[in-house]
Amino acid sequence: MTAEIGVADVPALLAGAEFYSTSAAGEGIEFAGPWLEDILAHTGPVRLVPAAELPPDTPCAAIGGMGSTTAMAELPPSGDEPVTLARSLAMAGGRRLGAVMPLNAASVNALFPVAAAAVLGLPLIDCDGMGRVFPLIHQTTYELAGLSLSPLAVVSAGHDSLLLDTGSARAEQLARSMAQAAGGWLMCGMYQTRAGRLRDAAIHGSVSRVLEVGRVLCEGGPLDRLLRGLAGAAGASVLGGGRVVEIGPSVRQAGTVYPGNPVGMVVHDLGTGRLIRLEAHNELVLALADGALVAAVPDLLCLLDRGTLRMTGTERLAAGDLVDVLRVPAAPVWHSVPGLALGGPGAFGFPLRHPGEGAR
Amino acid sequence: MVRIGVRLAGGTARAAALVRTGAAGGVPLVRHATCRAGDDRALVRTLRGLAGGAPVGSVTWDVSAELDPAGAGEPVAAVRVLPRLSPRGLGSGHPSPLLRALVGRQTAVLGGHDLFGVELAALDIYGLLGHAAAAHADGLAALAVTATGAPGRADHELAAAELIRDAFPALRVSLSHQVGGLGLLDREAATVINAALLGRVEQVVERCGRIAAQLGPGTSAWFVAGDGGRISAERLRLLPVLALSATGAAALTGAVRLAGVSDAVVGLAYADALAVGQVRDGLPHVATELPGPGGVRMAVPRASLTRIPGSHASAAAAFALLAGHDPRAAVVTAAEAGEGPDGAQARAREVAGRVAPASALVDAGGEPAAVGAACTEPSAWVDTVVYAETPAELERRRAVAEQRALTLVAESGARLGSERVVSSRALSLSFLRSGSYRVIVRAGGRAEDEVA
Repeated sequence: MTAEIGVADVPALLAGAEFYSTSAAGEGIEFAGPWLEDILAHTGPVRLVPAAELPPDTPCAAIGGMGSTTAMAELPPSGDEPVTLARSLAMAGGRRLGAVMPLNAASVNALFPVAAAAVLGLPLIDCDGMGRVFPLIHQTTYELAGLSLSPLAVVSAGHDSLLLDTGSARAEQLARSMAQAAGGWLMCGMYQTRAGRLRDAAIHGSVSRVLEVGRVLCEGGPLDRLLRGLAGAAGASVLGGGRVVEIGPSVRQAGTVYPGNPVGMVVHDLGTGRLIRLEAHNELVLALADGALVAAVPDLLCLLDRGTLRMTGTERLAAGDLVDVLRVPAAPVWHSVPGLALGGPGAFGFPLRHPGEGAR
Repeated sequence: MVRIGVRLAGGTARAAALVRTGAAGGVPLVRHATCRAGDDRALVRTLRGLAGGAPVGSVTWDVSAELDPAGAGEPVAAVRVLPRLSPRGLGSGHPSPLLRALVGRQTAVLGGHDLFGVELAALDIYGLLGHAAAAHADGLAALAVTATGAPGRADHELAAAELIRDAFPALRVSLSHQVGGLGLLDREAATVINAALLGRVEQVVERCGRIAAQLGPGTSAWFVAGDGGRISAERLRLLPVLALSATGAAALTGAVRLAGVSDAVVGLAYADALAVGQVRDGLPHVATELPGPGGVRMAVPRASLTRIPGSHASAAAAFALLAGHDPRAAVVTAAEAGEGPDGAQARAREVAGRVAPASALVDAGGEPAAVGAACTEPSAWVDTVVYAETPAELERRRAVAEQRALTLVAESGARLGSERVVSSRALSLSFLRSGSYRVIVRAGGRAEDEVA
């Protein structure tokens, strides 16, 4: 069913984007709310369409930002980045885009594709390639389905632009270096394909889901009602809730593949007395309860601040804060063998099996 | 030595005199008084009466209502400094009606730095001066300059200020790096509001200082900031935005001091809602990402208060849930006058009644924000980004930020040697190269006029 995303939907989109950012990556994305509202006020609403409703040969590409949301908040997009990306991709692919889809409908990347669709006057496909945030741009279901990430078109807030034609991992590495030099982030266009190929390559209904979860969050508390709402909209379950008793840089060694630094935190679960240790590296990666692994990537781990009833993360929290730790199951494709290889605990350097692996 | 706090709002001055401190754990002795805010003589008389003949060390004013930008702000010009100008202006507007009303002229010029201080584009001084000339010609009194990257490197903002002051000495200039932390749009909003209040704050500061001076030669005047600290008249003249939303922070401080505790979860009861906040080590828990006046988010620290609207019973249930999971004391007080079954007092009683022990209820006997204003101590914030390849380098960079915060505290009247770092956090920045940190320092101190 075709729907529209307009100015009035932005608060819900933003709240849902924070939820799906798995806490750490949602920090500081509030700037994108007024920014997108202003764009939609100029352009009018964006059409949100299921991939199946588009002609199968419609050329489309994924749009998303890479880099730091703090850098984006300090140096916001000028609004015409998608025009540059679309031009670069049309040059490389030989056809103009007929639709865009999100790289991932989470964090700021739930909003950037909406802005891109609005500026380009194209429909937005209701799907994404992660269903959450992963740190690397090729950790996607598009990749799992064999779509080619390259050519990768990138543009910075200073309007430096580049078209990379190389392998996925290599494209990620080169673009990441450029992001650092260009002010901390880039807008990217990638995974150029046809709408028909998305049937088995995308997570469908992602944008609608973000909006639905966002509406639950915008409606607010009390806490038990909110948790019920999140369970209904996203399948979220509560791993535990209590006081943050420790937070800071993690002592574990991290690989050099990922940007950012490892962070660890411990929540004292008031209900059971267990200590829930959370390991984060950009986003929350895994949870151990009294030393036993209870949740891990690719499933989502999110933190709800009991005081404000808002999603929160390691940059906002301090020892003493009260939080609920939520687990949200990832899209089924992520629990396949290739899915876990690309986005499971091992991909983040943890020599651990995902808690669900034994059950298969 | 008596310390006095005054909240000016709605044509009324609500004052509290802290006659004996509760700093050692005891409940302070407080006297309250109220008079018309617009009558200087009546105010002086009221404050003298509160002191009861004892020397007054300081008067600390909560002037956030006097500086409400919706009424007190004047239209200003806004200049954004960015490495790329939006060709169609997309994404550059602000949805807030308040901001739209305060921005009389808006433009962007090339320039700016990245988070680590690398110049992204040279400052377009001709574009800047052209805009300043147009603002001057339009009769606008102030100009807000917001450059990307300014919290890390303010060169372009400082250069802009110098150029504008040379060319248009009558045009007041507000610079974003002096106003707020990271986040261009939020900091710009704060800078615009700050610039819009520069005219009004002169009158407020002059008047409050004049009244305080009439209480005695040794009486100093201070102002409550939104984070619950106090700032000097000189700092408020430059940064009036810091005083906004001060009432909530002052009320939190006042409530815990009246309860004789320094750590608590606090419920401030109003007729239409309960506002819940936290106090740690005597200081309100604050955040920078909260909506401020007119719903505008500003990158300025202010007390974190969660508003729970609805019936007394539902607010009481929500507060009991929060307090029940908190080992700290629970404190509830009416934040405004209002008897009757629907008033703030009744809400406070019902909320406190659901919390064990029932002694959570504090009868402020007057305005808790005025008590809090009397109790405020100097404070300061630093929020910046650093790059450090090693833990030792990170500690060195953090120590520099802490020293900057301590210096600001000393400038706000802290007694020599009382300055301390309240909190200092180095937060790993996601998705940037390893070694990128945001350093946030909060510092405080004890004022010279501590009550004996």
